[in-house]
Amino acid sequence: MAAQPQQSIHLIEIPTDRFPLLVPSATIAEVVNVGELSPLPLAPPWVLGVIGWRTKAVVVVSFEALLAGAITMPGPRSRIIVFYPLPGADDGGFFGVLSTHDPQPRVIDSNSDLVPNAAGAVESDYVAATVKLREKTLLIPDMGTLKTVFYP
Amino acid sequence: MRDSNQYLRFSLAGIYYLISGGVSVAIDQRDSLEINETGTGRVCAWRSHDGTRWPAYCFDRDFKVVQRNDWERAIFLEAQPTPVGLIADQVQLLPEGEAQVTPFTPLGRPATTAGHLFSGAWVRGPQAILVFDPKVLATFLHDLGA
Repeated sequence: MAAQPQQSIHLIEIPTDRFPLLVPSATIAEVVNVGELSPLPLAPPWVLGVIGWRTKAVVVVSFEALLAGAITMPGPRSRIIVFYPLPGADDGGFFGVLSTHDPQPRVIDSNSDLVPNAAGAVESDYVAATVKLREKTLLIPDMGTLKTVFYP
Repeated sequence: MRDSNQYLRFSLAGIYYLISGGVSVAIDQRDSLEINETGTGRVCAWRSHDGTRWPAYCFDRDFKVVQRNDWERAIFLEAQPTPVGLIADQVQLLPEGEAQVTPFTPLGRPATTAGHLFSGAWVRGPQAILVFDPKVLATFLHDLGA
């Protein structure tokens, strides 16, 4: 009997100043260097600014600020992870998340030791799950909550 | 979708913005305005016109109302009962078609009761110059004096 083909999920680990994020690779359009961030006056505190990306203006957000209100500013190794619009948003709904350095690809399959974090979950409306991958604690963002906050 | 209208480019607290060139009622130099010398209140200067005074407001980078003296011009927008103004440092009417503006909707709830302050952006490489929604901006300015 032939062995069942192993299913795998391609994910991206996004380093932040708090816990890194873990998101499906397919949700990410591009990773770009932090260029000129134009301020967006009167924006929510989790908005860092706006960049030009391809022909679009893309709002860059701080996930740390969403979690705890503590804004993280870009550092020398920071990157902007440009996400595709969340389901239901229009074509202009691209957004960027600031990472502290380069994101890392992760391939998860049945042999991977991705497990719920035994120490408990990070309590936030913006976190769908807190997981452990090897020795590292990672957060899976709640895209449904993000959608209601980003596109009210 | 692109909009090739003519735009005013102006700087505000060191940041460049655009607004459609057809919406300004007047652009005045500082010398022709009545300056608020008291340093109190929200209005930075007034333009006198046919017995009315049009208020102009000055903002910092975060769009908080401030009083400062190192500015050059005021852009006045149509509003009721009188036009309202925005203090700007440099104002330039761009040649028609120079600014290629694409629609832009900020994330999150609108910053004003009238909606989002910005409705478009001129993207030049990694830089995005935001374009004010003139009606929302005029309502926002008007509400400052309410």
